[in-house]
Amino acid sequence: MPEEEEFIVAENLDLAWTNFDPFFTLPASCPFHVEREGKPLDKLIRALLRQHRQSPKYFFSGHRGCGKSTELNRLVDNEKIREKFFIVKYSVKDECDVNNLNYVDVLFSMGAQLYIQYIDAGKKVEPKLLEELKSWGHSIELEVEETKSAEATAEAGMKAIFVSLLAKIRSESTTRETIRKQIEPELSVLIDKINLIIADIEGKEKKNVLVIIDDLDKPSLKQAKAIFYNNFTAITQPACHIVYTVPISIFFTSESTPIRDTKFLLPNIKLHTKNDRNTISERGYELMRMFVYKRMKKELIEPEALDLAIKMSGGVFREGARIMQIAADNAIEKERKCISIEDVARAEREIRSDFMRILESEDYNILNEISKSNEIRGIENKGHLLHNLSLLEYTNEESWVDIHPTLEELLKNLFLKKNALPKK
Amino acid sequence: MDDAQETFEERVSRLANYLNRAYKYNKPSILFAMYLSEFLRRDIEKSLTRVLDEQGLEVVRVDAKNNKDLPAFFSARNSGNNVFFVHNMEKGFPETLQYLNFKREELVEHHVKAVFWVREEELARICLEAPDFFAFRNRVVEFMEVPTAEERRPALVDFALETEYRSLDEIKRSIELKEKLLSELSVKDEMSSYLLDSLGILYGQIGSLKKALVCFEKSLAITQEIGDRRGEGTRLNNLGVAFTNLEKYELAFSCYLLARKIRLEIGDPEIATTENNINELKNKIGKKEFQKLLDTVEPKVEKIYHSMR
Repeated sequence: MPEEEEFIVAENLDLAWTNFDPFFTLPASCPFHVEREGKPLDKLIRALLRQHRQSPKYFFSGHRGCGKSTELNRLVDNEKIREKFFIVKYSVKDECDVNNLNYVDVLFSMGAQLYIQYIDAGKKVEPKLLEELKSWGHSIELEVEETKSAEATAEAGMKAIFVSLLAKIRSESTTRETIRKQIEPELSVLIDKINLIIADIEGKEKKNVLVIIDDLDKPSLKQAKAIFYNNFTAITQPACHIVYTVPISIFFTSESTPIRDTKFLLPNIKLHTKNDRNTISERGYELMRMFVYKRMKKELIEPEALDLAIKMSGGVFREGARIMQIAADNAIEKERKCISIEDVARAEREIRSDFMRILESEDYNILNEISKSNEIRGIENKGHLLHNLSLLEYTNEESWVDIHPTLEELLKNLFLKKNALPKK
Repeated sequence: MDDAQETFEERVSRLANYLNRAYKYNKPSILFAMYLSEFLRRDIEKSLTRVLDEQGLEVVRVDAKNNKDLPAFFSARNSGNNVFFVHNMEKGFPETLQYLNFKREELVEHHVKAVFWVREEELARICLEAPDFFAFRNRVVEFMEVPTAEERRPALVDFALETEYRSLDEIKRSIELKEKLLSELSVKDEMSSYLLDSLGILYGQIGSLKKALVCFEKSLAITQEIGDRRGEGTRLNNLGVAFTNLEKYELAFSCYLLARKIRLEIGDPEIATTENNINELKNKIGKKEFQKLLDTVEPKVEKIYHSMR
């Protein structure tokens, strides 16, 4: 991962290779950042800054690799957001066991993080609240092993209880069950405590509280559904603004979804218009060119090679980064000074092979249909294709979907020649 | 498509260059090497290790079966010049998949350089069940050609015969790999015989004496079938050791005598080992018992030998 000072435009292919890591989340105000058309993050920022009678909950999503974590970093860094809110941001995977996660864990982690991050900011809660939290914390601990605390202050003592309970939820499956069983029947008590902490912070800071939970899009769709559908009421109870990240496929399941109303989808960059893959959306291409040129000098790639790389990215930043990295690697191997169309074509083939490994025969039929219609309707229960990026969603006036561009040639050959479908 | 004509060396150096560049720029590296045959994997691993070695990188082999929480293992073990070779992925499923999927950032934070050795089915499961981790991949390099018998022979004979390992873990790993290789061979040829012989020695080293015996016997049968006299001598000698360990001295002595006979006939200098083994047997059971063996076994050696065929 580049250090702060290392965000420099690459002047040779070796350095270009390093600038196209497929796993690098950009920090806020990173020089590599490109602003999307329509600034979708601003829409979320505006919604958060608006006056609400009840604290709103937002469900933030986007395709894997489209820049969600990067945008959340920018959200936290936004000046107006910092002015209005006391922000508590955490990743659910640091606090809970994402392989076995339920809504009780999510709510408990929220309460604990509210308290811990407030105390860590050098603040104090009301003594009365502290007492209440302590006796509640001990009541849960009675069922599990009690924390031996020798902390200097009462605040730190309470923090130790929270930290210890979180650690148990995260890593001890039997204790986790005991804690859940303890909390679940009296969920209103937990929510009440969360709300008391929120009220205390808001009273003291004269700011609203904003909780941002990252990586809630990582659990399986089944777990995510259990949290966001079956327990929707519970997770929207805390009286503060909340941004939940959710898996994109959750928006496309057939169950009725209250979360669709307040969803924020980070769109992919649109590169062509609906139903016509031969058109070129110049603004989308320009944006993706910026994405490349902020990382390396223009001279390091032939223009037609860049156009192909952009096309094959499908407008997903991480996909673009991966194609560029493979192409750069190939060019270095072939001892070229700049990336040629051959190098990009090579990357395209490799990414297509990756897809062929995961797609089932039935998937090809669905993809073929969608490649013709681009219709989003009727794609319920095809969430897995959005999940694995073989289908990509685009939004302008309307939302539409298309196949991953590397699959175009494959589908064409497959259905043209009526070949047997490739085996999985 | 030119990809199919790429040589083995080109692809090995692709992996090596990626890893070396990652090391140079202090970058993480998540690579998949997809292979068809254990024979080939053995060769790729060997060549890649050699190249990395020259570049000052140290290969750390990781068995996913024993280290399901791979991100934790990497974080604890990683030092700048380590390259982790992860194998046996399937044995760690499904836990390994979950750990990798949810702790993928740890690999990046710790600048881990790893090559995951996977078969096609394993990679498909990783794509499907650890999609967030797979999204972090740098590249998949395929080694999907079927090795011809000639290609896999020279380097593999060394390996098949290799039995000197330092630790119990290494021995067990080698046993596992050799068993796998053996299961891939459809015909019982010289290679199977080498592998079985080597397995017999390794099983003996970890105290699985009966298994050792079975391996030597199978190996012997193959040498007899294909008319490999030298191999036959070696296997008989090793069978003698196995029977000695099992305290079946009559059988042990028969094997040694037969081994000596063959080795003498073909002028195999290894005859010294067999002589030595006979002496050790003598010391072990005492002169008196040894004399008894001489009296009872020697006259019926030929008979015993034929009963073994």
